Amino acid sequence: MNVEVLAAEGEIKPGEHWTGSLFGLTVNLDTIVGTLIAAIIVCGAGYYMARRATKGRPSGLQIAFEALTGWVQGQIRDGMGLRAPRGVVGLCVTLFAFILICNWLAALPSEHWIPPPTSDVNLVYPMALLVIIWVNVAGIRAKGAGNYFGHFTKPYAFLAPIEFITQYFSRPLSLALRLFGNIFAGGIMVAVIGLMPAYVLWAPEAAWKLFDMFIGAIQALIFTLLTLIYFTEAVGSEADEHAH
Amino acid sequence: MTTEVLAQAGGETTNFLLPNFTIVVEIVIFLLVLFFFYRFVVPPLTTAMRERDEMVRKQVEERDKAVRTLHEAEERYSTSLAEARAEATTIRDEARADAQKIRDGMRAETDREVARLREQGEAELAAQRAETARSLRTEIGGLSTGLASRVLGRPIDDGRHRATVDSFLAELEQGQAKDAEGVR
Repeated sequence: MNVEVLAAEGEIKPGEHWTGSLFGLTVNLDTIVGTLIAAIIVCGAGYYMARRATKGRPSGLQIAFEALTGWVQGQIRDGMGLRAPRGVVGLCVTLFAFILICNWLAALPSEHWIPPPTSDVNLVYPMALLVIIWVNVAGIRAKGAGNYFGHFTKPYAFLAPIEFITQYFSRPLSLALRLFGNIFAGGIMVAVIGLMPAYVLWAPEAAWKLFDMFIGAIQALIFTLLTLIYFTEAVGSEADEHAH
Repeated sequence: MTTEVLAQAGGETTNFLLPNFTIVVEIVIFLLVLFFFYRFVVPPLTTAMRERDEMVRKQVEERDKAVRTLHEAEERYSTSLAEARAEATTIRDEARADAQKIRDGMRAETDREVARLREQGEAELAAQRAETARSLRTEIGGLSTGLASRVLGRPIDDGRHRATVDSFLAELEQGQAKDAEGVR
């Protein structure tokens, strides 16, 4: 109730962006700037790490990247084995690192001007869409179109529409909106905390920012893990192949 | 309810669940990041990880090899030690046998020497006894003749009674020899 009143007063404006015009169409400049900052950080760190990548004594950054890559490779090996489509490791590593940095932009005090780009559906929709398209392409290439779509009718043909809706609407939407909702809610929380008097504001603000970083990491992990699970389901594990 | 209020308050606020043209820019940026990672980040990283795995595997292999070599060396060492011990035992036994042989030989030699010396001594003794007996016999003949002439109070012809004395002495010797044989 309180939030509604505050919102009505215009102090909290969720989903409002600093907009501009590109080719006569509206674009959210804050999201674009945030995405560019995250992209530069991720690519810079990745490039810096890759240039100094060594098989000997790795740097802390390399250990972090190796832990991520090793985790992704382990998931792929366990789920798909040799059937893993090419490039999934790269996709998942990129997704995790990029989403993580995007989410962590929320921890900066500049959140009011540059919100985390993942709190805008314009970033999460294309990522979810890319994942779903890639998953379907990989599934069709692994099983053949007939086999892949025929799988929707098993074990009961009358459930095929539900399966279809799940595959092409629920999954991409939930994948995108889960990430969006969590980070967006973080922004609203900061705005709400910002309405407190200045002398008590710092404590909940600091606590929330720390928790928000944790949420950001968890959401990046969930997005990546679900991507891997969708790939595993579409491609099928080696055990499935032997069973058929 | 909240959305309605917001919409009223914001006036121009659009539905934040609907994307606008930003989506195109965002997907371009994400694809660029993805391309960058594929091109520059993931390959060196996975190469380094693979090489490290390879290095670790190689080190494990080398360690196993070293352990095997050590075991072989230890086996060789213990075999050589056992052989050396056996050889030492053989040499000791041989030396003992040689010593025994030498000791036996020296003892036999000594025994022979002792026997020879004893024979020599006995021969010398026998010769001296024979010599003594001969000289005594000569003297006893003269003494007994002198004694007899002194008992009789007249001189006795040494030449005539000499044969009697000699035969007496010869009988005496013969009797002694028989006694000695009887004792034996």
